Amino acid sequence: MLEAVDLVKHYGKHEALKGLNLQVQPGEIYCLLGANGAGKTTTINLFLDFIHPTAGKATVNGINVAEDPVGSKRYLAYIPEQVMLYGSLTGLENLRYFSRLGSHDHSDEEYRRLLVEAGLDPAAADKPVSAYSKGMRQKVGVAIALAKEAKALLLDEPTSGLDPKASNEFSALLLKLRDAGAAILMTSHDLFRAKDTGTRIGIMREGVLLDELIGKDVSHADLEKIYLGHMAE
Amino acid sequence: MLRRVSSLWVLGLMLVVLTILAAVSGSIRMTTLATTIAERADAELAVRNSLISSLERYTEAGAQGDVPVAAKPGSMGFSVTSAYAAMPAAPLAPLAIGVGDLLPYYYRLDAHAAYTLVQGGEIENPLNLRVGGFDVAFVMVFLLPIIVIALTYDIMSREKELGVLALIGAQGVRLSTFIAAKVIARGALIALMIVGSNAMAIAAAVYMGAEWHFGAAALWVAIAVLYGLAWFALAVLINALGFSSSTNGVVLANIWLVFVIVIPAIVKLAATTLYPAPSRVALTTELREAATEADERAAEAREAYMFDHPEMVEGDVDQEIFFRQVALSEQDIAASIAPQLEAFEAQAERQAALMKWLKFSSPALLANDAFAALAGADRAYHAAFRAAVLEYHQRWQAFFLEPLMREQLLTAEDWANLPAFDYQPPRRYLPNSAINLPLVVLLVLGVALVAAGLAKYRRYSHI
Repeated sequence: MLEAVDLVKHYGKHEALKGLNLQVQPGEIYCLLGANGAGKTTTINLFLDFIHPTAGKATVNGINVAEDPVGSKRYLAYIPEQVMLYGSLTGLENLRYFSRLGSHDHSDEEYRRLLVEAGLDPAAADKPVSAYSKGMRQKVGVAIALAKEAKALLLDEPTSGLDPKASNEFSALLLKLRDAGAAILMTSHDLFRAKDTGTRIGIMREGVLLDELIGKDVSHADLEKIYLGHMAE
Repeated sequence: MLRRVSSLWVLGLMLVVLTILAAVSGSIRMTTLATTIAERADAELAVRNSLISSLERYTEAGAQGDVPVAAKPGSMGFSVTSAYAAMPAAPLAPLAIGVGDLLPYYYRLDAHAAYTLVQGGEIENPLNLRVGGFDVAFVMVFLLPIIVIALTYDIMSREKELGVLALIGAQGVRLSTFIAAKVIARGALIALMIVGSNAMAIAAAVYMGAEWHFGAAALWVAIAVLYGLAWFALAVLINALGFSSSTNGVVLANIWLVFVIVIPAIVKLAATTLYPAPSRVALTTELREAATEADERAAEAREAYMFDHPEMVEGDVDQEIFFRQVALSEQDIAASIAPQLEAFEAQAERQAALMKWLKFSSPALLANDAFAALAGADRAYHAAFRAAVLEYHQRWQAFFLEPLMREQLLTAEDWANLPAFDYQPPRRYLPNSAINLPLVVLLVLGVALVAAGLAKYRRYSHI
């Protein structure tokens, strides 16, 4: 569903991504780990066509993102580290607005159901988003993805800054989406969460994918040891 | 989305209130002027009719006794009676004062020479001249840009600052499509506000007595919309440069200051510096010298007359003789100061010609001139009125001077032929370059700014 082929991105003389190759299949969560500047967010932005590749290509369901950005986004949903919404609108209104932008329209009952499915308290749906916590906004972000019936999700450090309970709830949601057949590419600094949710785990450093691990085949301790080993190289 | 942006409603309401207030204020001003002049003219007419009646009674009684004053053309023309020539109001007159607070909107005519017309006292509140007028044109030219800027300074920068552009971009809508939709929606709303507020202002003016003229009203609204949208387009372009909302606000406020305040002031300064009006002191001095010389010549003539008519030396000199002398003196004075007055006129013409081109340096000047032209408050409308008044003055003056110089008395029948002022002002709208050129320039300016803005937005980033 998501594929990066020899993906290269330069910012002037700085090589942010040096020939990345990876695939994320439906029903799979691929966790990208790495220090700041490793190229994780650059990878996400290339899949979203927010930036253009220097070389190589990023595809979504076989569609080259750079050639058909609008077509590729029909299959994509995106949840950034901070889900920024219109503070003066309620959660329900934000969901309706962003869904309509993506040409997906539902009834208000359906939107409410999606917000509840994303874990939002039903009473919060009609409150202005300016009063929401970060976790609540993340849930609206997930509801936007659910409303879009996205086949692929791009998550950029989605649990960063969430409290353990909210983080756990968010991970449970991701597993539900994975089980429903979504292909999920998630960047993170959270090794524990990556091990628990990731089907596969990629470790990046300075624009290079150094290692790829199977989540269920590696323990927390081993993952930490491997990760720190790569960072020390 | 829009219904949650409370500033839209507050500013929209403010625009409507200010526009209607200005229209009502303008209507009251026009009504007051018309009423004041009508009252003065009626009072003049009542006195004149009363004197003519006494002349009729004198004639019917066989012309016995003292000759009534209404039979004396000199006394009547120079001292007793006068005419009020008021400028007919254009259909949208209450909406723009224009040069109406600088140039006379009425003249009081008598048998004195034409140069005395400029010295006539105005029925005007001096406070208005000090603080300027509050009219719909002022609201549009000065305040509308501020309201448009307040509604638009963050049209795209807000999204960027909120961080929602990334989420918008991920929904499968092209950023250019999103921006175009937002610009069209906001632009349409602003256009609707301008149309609504001006329509209400025109309706208020018509309700309070202004003449309804569809063409003039439609052109007024079109100028206001194009002017407002030019400012909107500028704000869209500034947003495309990628600055923060606060920077956009400061940049736009400065552009407003430059185009609405500074450039018009510089243009006026340039016109008066390049073509300075001749000194008023020189004119006054020339006027006094000419008057003194004329008085001396009159005294000599008077002495010669008295020498020929010694019986009148100790008696009461006939006022008609005096007014004949006044008429001749004024002819001399008029001839003496004609070069100065012509110099004033010529410099004023040159200033106006320069302003005609310099107004293209600012959309505010363009819109202001177009509004003034539509409301009959521009120099051209006043010049046409003044020319008609001068022509009327010649007829009025001739009515009294011809019998005065022929030493004839006026009869009651003569008074039936007293000249009347039946001036019909020019009604030229679209063929008028003062209106159609600003229309075209504002349209081209708005389109060019939007095109430049949309071109800039091609490089606008989601992140």
